[in-house]
Amino acid sequence: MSAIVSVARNELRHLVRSRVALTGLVLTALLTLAAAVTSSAYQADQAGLRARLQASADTEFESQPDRHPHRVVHYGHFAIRPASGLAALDPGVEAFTGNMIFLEGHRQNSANFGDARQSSLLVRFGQLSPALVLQVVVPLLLVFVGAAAIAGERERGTLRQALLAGVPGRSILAGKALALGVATLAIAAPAILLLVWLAVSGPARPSAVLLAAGGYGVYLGFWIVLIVAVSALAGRSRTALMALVGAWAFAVILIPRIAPELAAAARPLPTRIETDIAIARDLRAMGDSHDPNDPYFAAFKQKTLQQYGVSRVEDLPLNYRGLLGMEGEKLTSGLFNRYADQAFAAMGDQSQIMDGLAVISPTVAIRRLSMTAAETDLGGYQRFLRQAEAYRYDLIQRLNWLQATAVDAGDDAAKGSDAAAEARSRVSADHWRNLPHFNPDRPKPAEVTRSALPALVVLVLWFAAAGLLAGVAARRLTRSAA
Amino acid sequence: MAGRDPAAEPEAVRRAIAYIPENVALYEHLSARENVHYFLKLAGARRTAADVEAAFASVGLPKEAWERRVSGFSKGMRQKTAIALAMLRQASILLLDEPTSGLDPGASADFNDLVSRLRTEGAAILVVTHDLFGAADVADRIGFLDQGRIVEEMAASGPERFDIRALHARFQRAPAAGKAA
Repeated sequence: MSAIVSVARNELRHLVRSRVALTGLVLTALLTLAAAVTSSAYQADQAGLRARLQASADTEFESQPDRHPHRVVHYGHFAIRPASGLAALDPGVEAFTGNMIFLEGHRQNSANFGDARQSSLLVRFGQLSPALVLQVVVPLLLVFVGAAAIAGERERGTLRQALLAGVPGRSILAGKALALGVATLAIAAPAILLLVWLAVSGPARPSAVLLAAGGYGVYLGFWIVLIVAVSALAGRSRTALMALVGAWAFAVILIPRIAPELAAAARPLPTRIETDIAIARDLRAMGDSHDPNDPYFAAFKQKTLQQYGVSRVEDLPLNYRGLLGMEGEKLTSGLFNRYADQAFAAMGDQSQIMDGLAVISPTVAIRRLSMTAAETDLGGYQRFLRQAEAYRYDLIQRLNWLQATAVDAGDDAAKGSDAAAEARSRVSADHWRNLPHFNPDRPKPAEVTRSALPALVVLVLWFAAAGLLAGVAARRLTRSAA
Repeated sequence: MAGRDPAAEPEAVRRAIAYIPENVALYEHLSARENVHYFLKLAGARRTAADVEAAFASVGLPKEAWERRVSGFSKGMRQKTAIALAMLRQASILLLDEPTSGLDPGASADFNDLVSRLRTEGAAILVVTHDLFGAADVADRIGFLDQGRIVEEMAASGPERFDIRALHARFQRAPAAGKAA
């Protein structure tokens, strides 16, 4: 153990006294700090902004005057996605998916106002986040700093001296890995402090913080062990550097970059226009609730009259227009939900394909785990869409029911031509003031952990594979001294 | 070696050996004292600062060099540092590969004196060198290497005692038979 610590201390002293390595370490630590500070400030700002926007939308909605409920249906409302507690660590796909939906009757709108849409083009290159630094920059820095850790000693002859002093190869590898681990902790310290702060100050769940910290620990641990193993196996430090930079480019840049294209090619999604056309076609086929001769709604009318034992809609105890509105909303919502489910299923297939690529790139696995822990993954977005749609449907149906129960059918029919009837068809604003607010619930911690578990298992397997390689390298080192 | 079976106890035997190559490998970012401390720790040897200073003084490493980074050391200073380390490790077997190559005559003579002293203190020393005269000064036995094999071996005293002038003349005639060990 003392030999491992001695090797680690010597390596750290080498890093600190080497201007190039020290500069790289300090710059990366500053980059991590900048990412942590800017990302947490941005997300705190976002959280406040979204809360204010939702409150403002609620106030606007509730401040509508006494009016006909169907006007409220078309007035609409907004559902705004609350900011995730760990979005400061990893904003995930939020920048591209949007976080606000306009809710109205008869249709489902998509989420708008993603950062990449409303910001300058630069945002499209990726927001500077601690996740980006930890996933991409830190492994590259470790490669540059650690590639020569053992190969360089072999070139200079100090490795032989160390081995002849009786130190086993595994102690040298472990010491070098320990030094790189300490250096990694130092440069990742701002991100670690951010995680602790998010957990302590409240926005993030401790379980999610532990999950993210564990995932990044295994991911960076994999790189550290791989780097010292390759450095020990390579004859020269240049060879080690080339091999490791190649591995980094493949695992960190190439595979994550082409993964979405591969997934999209394997499981194509219909375009927005194709979907809109298909939905419009299906809506036409479904029938028109405003057309008295439409066969579906004629049948619905007969069924309703039978249900209430009357022969005319005028004799119904309820306003038939309200009932008609409810039936129409049920039909269109069912149609929209069917298309949404198809799209979500296709996106789920694409996600599975991308997740599968984690077997050739640990970066794919850590991205998945990180976004899942932060609830900023596609699943989190779909959860928001589903909850917003459930809220919209409930809101519209409450208003349709209000029309059916609180608005006289005669007044409703005459309101276009009779000012008095129009006045009587208005219902009290108290009704919308008492409607529930959009209050989406977050996934349970166990649910988040379960979703992230496959990625964590893949990362642990990558770490174990690097450990096996390091074992081979250690035995070769020890043999080389014999 | 050193009373142990290398096959059975390779690490213990390795600890008993100090190998000093032609170009002594030291950590450039460390001072002479830090290098010695580091290698001693790796070897599991505990020595005080006074022990280290005594070893430095014994090998003739100037005091002002003790705390300097070895990146600015001459070849002779590096060898002295390595010999000091071997002494501190109490290595009973020293393997020296071309130790005087590239040293000026004064430094070469100092080095040979140091080797002689270590020999009289009981160390087993194997020197590979092209310096026949230096080898003749310090060696108990000398062997000729040709194509990696010892082709002739002589003692420094007794009936087998070698004649340095005859050896040198033969070496000049057959330059391919290059090294003395």
